[in-house]
Amino acid sequence: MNKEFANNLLNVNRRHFLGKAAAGIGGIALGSLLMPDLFGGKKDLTEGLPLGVPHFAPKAKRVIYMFQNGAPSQLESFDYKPMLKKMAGQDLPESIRQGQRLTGMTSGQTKFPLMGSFYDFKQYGQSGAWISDLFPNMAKIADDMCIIRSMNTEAINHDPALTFMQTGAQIGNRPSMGAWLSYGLGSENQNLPAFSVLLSRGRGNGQGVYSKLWTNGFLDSTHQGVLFSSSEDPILFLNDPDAMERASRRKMLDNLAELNHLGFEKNGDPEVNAKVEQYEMAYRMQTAVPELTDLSKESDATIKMYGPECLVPGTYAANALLARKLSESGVRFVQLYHQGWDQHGNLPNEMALQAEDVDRASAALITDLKQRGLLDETLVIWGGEFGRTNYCQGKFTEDNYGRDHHPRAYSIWMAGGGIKPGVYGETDEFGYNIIKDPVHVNDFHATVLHQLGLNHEQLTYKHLGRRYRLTDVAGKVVSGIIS
Amino acid sequence: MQKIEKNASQLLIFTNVMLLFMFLFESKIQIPSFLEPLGRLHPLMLHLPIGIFIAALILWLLKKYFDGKNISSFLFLIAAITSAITALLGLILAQENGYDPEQLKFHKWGGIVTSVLSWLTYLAISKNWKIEPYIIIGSTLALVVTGHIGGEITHGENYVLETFTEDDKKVFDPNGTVYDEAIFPILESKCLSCHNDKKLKGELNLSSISAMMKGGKDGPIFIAGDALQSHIIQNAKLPIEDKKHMPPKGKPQLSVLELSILEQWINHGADLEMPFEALDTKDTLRKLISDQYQTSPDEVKTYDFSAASSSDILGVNNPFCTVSELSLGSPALKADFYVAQRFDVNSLKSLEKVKKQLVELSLAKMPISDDDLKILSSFENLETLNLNFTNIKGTGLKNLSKSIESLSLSGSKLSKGVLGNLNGLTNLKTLYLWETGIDEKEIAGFQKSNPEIRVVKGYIPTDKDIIKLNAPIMVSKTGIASKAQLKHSLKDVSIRYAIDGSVPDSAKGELYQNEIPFEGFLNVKAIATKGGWLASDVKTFTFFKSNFKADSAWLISEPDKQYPGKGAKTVIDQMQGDKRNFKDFAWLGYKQNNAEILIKTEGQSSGLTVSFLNSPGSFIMPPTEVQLWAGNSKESLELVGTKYPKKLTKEDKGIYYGGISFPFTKKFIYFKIVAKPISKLPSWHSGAGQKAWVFIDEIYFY
Repeated sequence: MNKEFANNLLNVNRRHFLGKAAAGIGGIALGSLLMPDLFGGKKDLTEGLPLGVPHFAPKAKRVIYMFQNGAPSQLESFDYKPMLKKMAGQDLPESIRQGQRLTGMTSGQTKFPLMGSFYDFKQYGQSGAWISDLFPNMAKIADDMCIIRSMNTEAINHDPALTFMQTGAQIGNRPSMGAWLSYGLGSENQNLPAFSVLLSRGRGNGQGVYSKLWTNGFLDSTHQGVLFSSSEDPILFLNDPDAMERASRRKMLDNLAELNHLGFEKNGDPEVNAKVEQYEMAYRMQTAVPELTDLSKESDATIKMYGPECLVPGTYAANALLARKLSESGVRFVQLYHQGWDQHGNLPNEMALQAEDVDRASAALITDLKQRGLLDETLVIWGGEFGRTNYCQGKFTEDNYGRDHHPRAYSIWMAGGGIKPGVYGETDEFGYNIIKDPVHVNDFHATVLHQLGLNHEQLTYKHLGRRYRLTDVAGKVVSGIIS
Repeated sequence: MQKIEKNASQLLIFTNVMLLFMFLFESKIQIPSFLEPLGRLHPLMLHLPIGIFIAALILWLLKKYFDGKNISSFLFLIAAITSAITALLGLILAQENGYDPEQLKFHKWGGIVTSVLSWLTYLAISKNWKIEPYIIIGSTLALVVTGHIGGEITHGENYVLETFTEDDKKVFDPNGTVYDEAIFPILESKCLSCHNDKKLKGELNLSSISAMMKGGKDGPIFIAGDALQSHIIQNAKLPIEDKKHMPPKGKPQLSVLELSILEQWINHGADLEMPFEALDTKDTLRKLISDQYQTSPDEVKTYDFSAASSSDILGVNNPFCTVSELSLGSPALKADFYVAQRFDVNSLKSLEKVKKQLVELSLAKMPISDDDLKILSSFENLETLNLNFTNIKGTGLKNLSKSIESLSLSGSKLSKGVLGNLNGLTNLKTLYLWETGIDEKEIAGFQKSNPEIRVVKGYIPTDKDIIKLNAPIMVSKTGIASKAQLKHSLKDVSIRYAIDGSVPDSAKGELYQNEIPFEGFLNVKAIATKGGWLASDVKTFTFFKSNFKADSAWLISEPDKQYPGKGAKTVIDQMQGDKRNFKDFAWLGYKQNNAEILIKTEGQSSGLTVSFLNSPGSFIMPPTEVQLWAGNSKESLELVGTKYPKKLTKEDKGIYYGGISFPFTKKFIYFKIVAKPISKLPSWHSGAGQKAWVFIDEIYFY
């Protein structure tokens, strides 16, 4: 009697048990096949590697990316090609061009007259890097720079190329580099956004930048880049309204969080929690930001180093100085954009103006980080989205010219963060094709992640049924530039 | 018995199907974490099928001698079930990382085959198939092979015979020759299997130096100093499909690094006796070898102290002090303090909980004093310390732990003579002293007695570093304001200006103070100067005095259809149109007829300014004549004034704003402006004789 009762209670006998256990295990297997996240919890998102900590000992802790938007010409900056000067006006040999893709702006040209640099080059530093006279201050830090002359990309127009450089895809729906780093490493300073964006505009022909470049994509929106205003108040509406006390602000946020929490329990939307986190961040930023934007404590030597423009909000120099302050305060990724590098025409004049904007401040940032002992742990990147053609756009004239887009070879430089100073990669005598050590954009991304202690193949996020990476399905760490 | 066998058969079908399923879809399946311990039972479970199978096998072999058929069949059944379960557990275990994927693959296949074959064995025996003996031989083989591979995975290759074979795996010895330590190991691992004493493919033997120097049937394998002409390099660089490519397709290939090492060594002269230490530290070959054998000194540092508990790490974290692991699995910690205003010395004190693990600490910009540095004395493994821009004077530096390798003091105003406090820091490698106020002499002295320390002094401006100031800027961004004010963001800058069109310099022109007096409209040229800096470029600023916004406006005469602006409100929107883009709907353009605009304002004003555009290149010229009519009703307007803006000359180039002001003393409500375009462009103009445009924008009241 008791036995039956117990059996009934459990509703199990030996046969039942075997049958059910088998069905159960089968069900589990099937269930996890259909819904792999079913039992995994958080772990699945990165295939087991926890977030917020480097996968291995990092060389760099932070990144400052000085993006030269519009694509500065490599032939007037870091890729010295005397041959172009010798052959000025002559047609680009077909053996070099090899029928490769051109933009619609020059594909109709019957002639592709070669054009050498308007500016002279000299050699600098231990590596004997050739740097044009347009960048006298950068030339002084040649021993800290690693010039990569063999960058190449797949896109030939600004927007896709820029999006590719920033997100690893030409279509703008993927997370930006900074968002990936924020996701992978978290924030060092909880009082500031881990990913900050600063804009400035030069005097040359400009191209737009859009918020998709600093998007969080499918990642949590806390990883989105925060665009700082170029006014004297880099973060608008940060101050409490008059007569609002700190304590009542705190109380308001607490009550709001409670309401949001109720909402979250009802609808389960993770964006609700992201929002609460952002409110909290803004609250903490109210104390942290005034320290950042206070320039009165910067010494005269510092101002002289960056140039006095650094005191005028919204200039490249001011952004470079602010970038140093943000980075020093633990902001993981500071993204600068300087617009105006799209020299389809009037290149000698416009490029001089652009160079004047950025040369001094870019070099100063390196020097400044160095003297604070921060260059070793900060990776600084300088460069555009592609290169420019070795032939001139339109008709050949001796004293003025422009260059079209050229994705097959361009130059960028990096400094600090465990990058080995020197010159890497080489293009042919015409500066058209890469002949040694090409660095694809995916490789560049893999290397940046590597320097920050992240394995680019392990930093993944599962979205729409597959795992995404910054480098997607490609990318190799460029070991030749790592010290 | 039958019932058992029936149930067992079903179980067998189920487990084997499940096994195949898991095997095929392995990459897509995630094992729930509560099942993971089951996987670990695999090494225990596997003994059952092996033991039972062998017992069954013995009974089967001895079946002639006694009737063991039934019991043997039953044992095979149990062996089949246990091997299926063992294989299942094995697949779960395989989800854990850390096994050699190649071996694992074979083992997995083996497990499946064993399971299926044991099942077939049972069927063959119970159903008396003719092929019974072959199946049994097959399953026995599968069992042995799978078991063996499994053993190798667990215990390492060649585990059984290990005691007989000598361990010849050599450790890289930097004191040996390059050939012995770096070149031969590459040849040994990638070439020797086909080119040795017993096997002489291509008549080449690489097992000894003398044999190698004889070369193969194509001659010597390398030409010292010329890697590109050496067979070994040439063949290695051929496409892998090429018949001559070495090592042949299918054999383990040379890695890029190994190939580079061989290449560099040949280019170095292929010296067989050269000691590794004779290579310069910057030498490419040395670096490549170091990479290959990981002897580089800046190898990733490992720490042997124990990790802090996660509750301790959590406990010392707060919004203004971030403590985190250096990297995954590392016991070492770093701590960074942020937001000076919220600095709390207690959170520094609390770091004592993790004092053993802390290797990096940043207190930059925190208001800490020399006394607080005593807290750091117990941080025995601290390597990197950042004390930039703190309040320390340097007397507390003697308390620092001698483990410190990098110390940043930049921006902290140190007292004279405090560098002596660093003498105890025997591990110090880098010292940052920018803007510490310590004089050159003391730094030089310190550097002399500590030549191995890299002292970074940072940027110190010299007399040669004279750079140009930036130009002054307007206080109001638009120049539309009640006062004409300029400013410069740098301290102690003087601004000089000229309103008469002349060019100011550091001596000439008015010195700016507070504001520039003006009537209603002002074009002013200004520069900034400061001692030790070059004067800025001259910049032109335009000011429109504006105290309030008019109420409403009407266009009495219609502007040209091309440039209609935003209608009447164009002139009272308190915005000035873009100079460079006169098409931007901020300008009213007139050419065929006079501009006539009526404005109403109740405000008390003492004058008004009509703004226009000068752009001779685009045929936009100032009006020849501007009239102001005013009154208290629309109907009773009287002429208050007529002005004739300065005519442009050939020298007036560029694009700039113009303005003409009418001061008045009486109070009016309605104002009518009449502006007349030039009917014939002057003879110096490229469009001489044609009609000119007048472009009107805002009308300002002050």
